Formats: sequence, C-alpha cells, structure tokens
Amino acid sequence: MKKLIVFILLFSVFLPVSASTNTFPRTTDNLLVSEGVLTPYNQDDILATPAVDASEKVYDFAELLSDSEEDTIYKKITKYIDTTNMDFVVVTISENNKNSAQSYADDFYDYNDFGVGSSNTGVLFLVDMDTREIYISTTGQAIDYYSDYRINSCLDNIYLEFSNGNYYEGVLGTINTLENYFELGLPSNKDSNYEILNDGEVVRKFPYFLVFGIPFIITVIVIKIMVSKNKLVRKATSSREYLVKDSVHIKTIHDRLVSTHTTVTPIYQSNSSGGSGGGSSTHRGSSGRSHGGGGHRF
Amino acid sequence: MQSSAVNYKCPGCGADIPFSAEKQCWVCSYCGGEFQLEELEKNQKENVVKKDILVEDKDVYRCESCGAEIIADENMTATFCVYCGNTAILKDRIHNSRIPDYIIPFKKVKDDAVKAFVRVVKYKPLVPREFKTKKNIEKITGIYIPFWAYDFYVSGKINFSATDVHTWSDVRNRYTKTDRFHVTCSGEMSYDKVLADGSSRFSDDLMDSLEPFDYQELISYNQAFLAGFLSEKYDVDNDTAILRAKERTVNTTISLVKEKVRHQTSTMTSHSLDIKSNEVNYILLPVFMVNTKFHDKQYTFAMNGQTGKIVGDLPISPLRTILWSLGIYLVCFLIMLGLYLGGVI
Repeated sequence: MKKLIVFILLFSVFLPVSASTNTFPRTTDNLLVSEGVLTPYNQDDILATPAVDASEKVYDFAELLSDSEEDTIYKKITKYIDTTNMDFVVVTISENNKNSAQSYADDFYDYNDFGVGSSNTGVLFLVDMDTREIYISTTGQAIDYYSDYRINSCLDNIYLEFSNGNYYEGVLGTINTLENYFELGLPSNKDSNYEILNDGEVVRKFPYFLVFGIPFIITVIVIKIMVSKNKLVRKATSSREYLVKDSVHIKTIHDRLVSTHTTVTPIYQSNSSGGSGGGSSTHRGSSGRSHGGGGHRF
Repeated sequence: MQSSAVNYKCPGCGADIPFSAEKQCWVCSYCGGEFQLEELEKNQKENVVKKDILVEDKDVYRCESCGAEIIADENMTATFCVYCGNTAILKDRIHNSRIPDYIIPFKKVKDDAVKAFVRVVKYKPLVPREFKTKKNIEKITGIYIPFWAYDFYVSGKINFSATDVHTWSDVRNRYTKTDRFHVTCSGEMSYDKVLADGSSRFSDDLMDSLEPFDYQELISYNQAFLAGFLSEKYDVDNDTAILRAKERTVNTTISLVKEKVRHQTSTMTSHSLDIKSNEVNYILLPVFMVNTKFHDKQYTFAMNGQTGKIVGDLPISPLRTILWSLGIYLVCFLIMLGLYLGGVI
C-alpha cells in the first residue's frame, strides 16, 4: 500500500509547478494515506490535510522563508536524519483549518508518509501564523527522546525568534536544539544541568554554586573545626561521670495528652509526568496514533 | 628544725626524702633507697613527730603581684609565682588550714608534660610554627591543686512538655498529626565526688577541662606525697564552689530524666529538684602547670598529673589561618572543577 502511494505521488499528472510547496488533491476515493491511519471516523480530517511529497521536508505554506533559506534548512534536516535516524519535518501555515496547532501538526504528520521504521519515528515542527503558536509534534521513538522538559526548554528558548519575525533562525535553532538533545541520549534528571544558547546549541551549565560555593562552605567548616581544636578549655556542664550507677531511679508519674491536631496538605500532581527527568506526555491524534509534543505562543 | 617536722626522713640515711611519681614510692636522692609509705611512717613514729602539727606549720610563698599562695616543702623553693610569673614572692607561714581528706599522687613526671605539650601542638596546623618548639616552655611545675568534692543525693520531680509528630499520606493528601503531652517524672540518684575547683588562681574552666581523674587511685591524704611538689591551699570556700558543682549536677539529672521521656521531643518546663550534699571532701589533685611564653604573652597549660591529659588554649596564627583557608578552598575548588569537567556534576 505504501509503495502504491509513492507510485501515485511520483507519477501523478497533477504535479503543479509552484515556487513554494506542492500539494496533491485528496478525494474520498483516493485519500492518499496508508491503511494504518484509516479509521471509520477520520475521513474529514484526512481530506482537510494537504497531501505532500514526503521527501521535501520543508513545507513553507506561509511563505516565511526564502528559497535559499529553505535549502539550508533542508540540508540541516538531512544531517539531522543521518545523525538521529529520525525523520524531521518543518511546516509553516498562515491559516489553520483544524481546531489547534497540535491537531494540525499531528494530522499533517500522520496523513503523509513521514517517519522512520514501523513506529514512524520522527519530529514535526509547525509554525502556525494563524494561532501564532509554534508546535513540536513527536512520534515513535522521538517521543522517548523528547521529554516534556526538553520540548518546553527548547520552545521557551526559541519562541522569541518567531515573535521577532526571525523564522529562519528560529527553525534552524529548533533543529539544532533537538539534534543536540538527541546526542545527550535518553532524557535523565541531568537534563536540568544543561542550558540552551541563542543559536539552539545545548551546553552544560556551569555549576557556579557547586564549583565556587561548595568549596567556600567546606573551607569555613574545616577552619572552624581547626580553630576549635585549638581551644582545649571547656566549662564542665555535666556530672555524668560522677553518677553512682545503681542509684538512678526514674519513674514517669503521668504522661497526659493535652492536645492533638492534624494538618492536611493536598498533594498536587502535575499533569505531565515530566520534570527534568524522562517523562513525556502523550496524546492520540485523529488517526489513533500516539504523539508527544508541546507548543508555545509567540 | 622546722624542716624535720614537715618532711619524712629517709629511713636509710636520714636525709629529706621526696615522693617519686615515676616509681610511685619515696626515693632518697642521696642513698638511692626506695621506701613505701608504711615504712616511712613507721620510721617517723620512731622519731616522735606529731602529725597534726605538720600541716598547720608549713612554708608558704605569697606572691606580691597576684596574691597567690604556694605551699612548698623543704625540698622545694619557689623562686617565682607559678600563676603570674612574678619573681617577687614572700616566704611566709601557713596556719590552721583544713587538712585535705584525700589525694591522688602524681603519676606523671615533668618529661611527660613536655611530651604532652609537644604532642598537643604537633598536629595543630593553625598554631604558629615558632610556638611548637620546646624552647617556649619556660617552666613546668608540679602542683597539687585543691578541689572540693561533693557527694550529692538528688531527688524530685521534673515536668516536661513533649511532642510526637506523625506524618502519612494517601493518594490525595499528606497528613501531619501533632500530639502534645504533659509529662511528669520523679527520680532520685546519687553522685560521688563531683569536683569543683577550690583555687581562684586558675580559671574554673581550665580546671574543669582536666577532668576526669581516676578515683580508683584516690587515697587518704598524707602529706608525705607533697614532698618534691608544690601545693596550694584552697581559697574558694565551700559555699561558693558548691554552686558550680550543683549546677552541673542538676543539668545531668535533668538530661538523664529527659532520656526516659518516651516521646520524640521534650523540653523541660519546670522542676522541683532537691539536691542534698551528704559529704564534702577536700581533695588535692596532681597538676603540672606548663608556663610558656610566646611573643611576650603568657600561655598557661595544665596537665592532669594522673592521666596525662593536657589542656590550655593554643595561639592561632592569623597568617596560617589565611593560608590554610586559601589552600583548602583551592583544593576543594579544583576537585569540584575536575568533577565538572569530568562530567560527574
């Protein structure tokens, strides 16, 4: 079936010659999707999703990038795919015909032939000019690599570029960050030791307190002990050594409860299992596939 | 002759015979004879000397500068005040003093005091290097210091307010339950010979720090032990010294009772402790005073003449403190930096 789609895509006579992005029309008879994502209910969602050539990787519907910028981003993505063995897709839209950036991103990914391997591993980065939101959608093993913490850190760092209209820098920075995070391995609680630079590079934070503060505290404690070792004179405040052992008789005459009270503190459970550790929260797209991800307004 | 009244004579040759801490008996420095107390007493009785008079008539050196009174026997001549270092001291006579009840004889000798001093400064990095040499030791003097020793019987009630805190949690909430209790305990206990410094010359804290002494070796006072050492007469009277002894005894009693309160935390709110002093003993305890002078300042150390424990405050060199601080900081800094570069932190 997959091969059939590729066949149809490649030899389609409807190939419109456009400067920006080529799309193929979907019809109820030919939805141009693989069987795995078909459900009895999602036909409308599929029809509302553009069908594209999955090898292009950069789909600039909103015309935010110049041709040469698209080219650079494409090369960057090629490198990302080589390094991570995960797919990467960049989509910009000026109008969102779905109810959120998340559902657009998920549908675009699911109803086109993206992803590596049987789990369709890959990442989609959506710039939604309609809702003014950037959104990262992850699928397959990418869900494991990009925890909520990593995605949120990435978005928090990059969204200002989009606010300022630097779309090209923003997209490159995002790819850079996600590639760097992949190189750190699966998420761990050490992720909080890293920070993201302006160009998206993920670098280890310099632990100022550990490197400068801890030695100071140790020094103060050690010197205090050393000084106290020079003071050999201490007032005696105890007579314990003079106690006649057998002479001690102690009785508890009474032991009375005078008051009791119990305080109740609710335990707040965060929606995501995230934190800086390994948690990735997932949801299901209209296709029924699991996705991870997160967005940020800009 | 006065001296004959103060000192025991060598049963061998008749010379004054001092007590040797090393050999724990009396050794004649002329004929080399070694004698136990019984032998001397037997010999003394034969010489018809009344013991009661002995104590009341002794040489005492009074320091003009600080007022210290040092008792010396015929073997010893005090040429300077052991407390303030003043050399202007007057020889006088002591009268009608209370005879000590017990004494712990010296077990250590002067060399032990030197060794103890060297040992105690050896691994103290903040002590100025020049202070660490034996040269600074000006004088080492063995003195019997007067102490009051009280036998106490303590009884009464103590009130505590106590608290137990338990925490547990279920799926939604964390619970903290705090229970408060009033606890009253009654108790009684005895203390044997709680010490209080009987000399005003030394700081009470310095003398406290010399403790503990091993009472196994406490023996009835016999002035023969004083031979070869200085001693001092008490000048802090019983009524004053007992306050210090009572204070520490009450502290200990409260903390002992507190341990029996079966709650997580407890604080004493009030007590009605009655502290009875059954017996007061006047004890002489052996102390080596080590006088050192460093940069024209006196540092006085005291060594327990029985156990060898040495106490005293050591000078601290500001320069060495700064250097050590920098060194420690640098080492810790490099370790942390290494851990950072190695990716551990």
